[in-house]
Amino acid sequence: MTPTYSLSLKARPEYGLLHLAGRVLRALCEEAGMAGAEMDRMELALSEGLTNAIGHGRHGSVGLELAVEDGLLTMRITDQGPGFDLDAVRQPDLEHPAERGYGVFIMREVMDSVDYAPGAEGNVLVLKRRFAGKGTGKG
Amino acid sequence: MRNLELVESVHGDVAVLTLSGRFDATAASGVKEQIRQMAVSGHRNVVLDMAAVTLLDSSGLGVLVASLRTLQGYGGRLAIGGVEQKVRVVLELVKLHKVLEVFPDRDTAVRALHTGEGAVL
Repeated sequence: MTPTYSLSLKARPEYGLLHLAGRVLRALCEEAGMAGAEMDRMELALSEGLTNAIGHGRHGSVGLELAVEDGLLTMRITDQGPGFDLDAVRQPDLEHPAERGYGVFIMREVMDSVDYAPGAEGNVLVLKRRFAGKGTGKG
Repeated sequence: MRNLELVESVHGDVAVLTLSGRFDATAASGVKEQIRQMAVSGHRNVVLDMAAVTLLDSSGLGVLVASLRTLQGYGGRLAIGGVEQKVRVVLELVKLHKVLEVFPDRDTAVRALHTGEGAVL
């Protein structure tokens, strides 16, 4: 099925991308009828995923694809860094605050699924979230 | 708002750093360094006014933890004055609201650090 909305961009791995990507995501989600609080959580997950991609993939480019289809938001982030084992990322000890280690935890908390694997154009992080919005019969 | 804007002010023996915009990796090192400089220059009690922060992610969370430790190392305190609901949700998600002193607004936080009161939230 053709996505209702689909956008993609490619950029140098620089943190300045976070702001632009967040705005693009919000525009897409707003058009799809996503609620504001849900949009905030999706922007947060995108920020975490992109920050990882930019930090790990200092060379080449970072790719971002955003798609909405029948109430399902898919965010696909590609980096060209060395990659890492997502399954080996441990849950942070929330009773003992740390300066690092919350990013993957946050993505897992706010998304329905978080997957990361090598792909043809680099490592690909795929974040998915089903939501109630226009045309889903749930909004 | 593109980048996080920082405005520093002093209220008696309490310094206030007002943040406006996204508190993410773009801004993290700058905020961390500014608070460290405040501590080094004698401002041990710092209020972070986060009422106008539009997004707080793990990079910002890391700065909050680091800054708390920095100020405590100088015998001081870090208080958060005012957060939007979407920022509060992130603090609660990682349970930092149990560690940080979070007040309803900047003025309440400043008064608390003047008088040595604990957080009311």
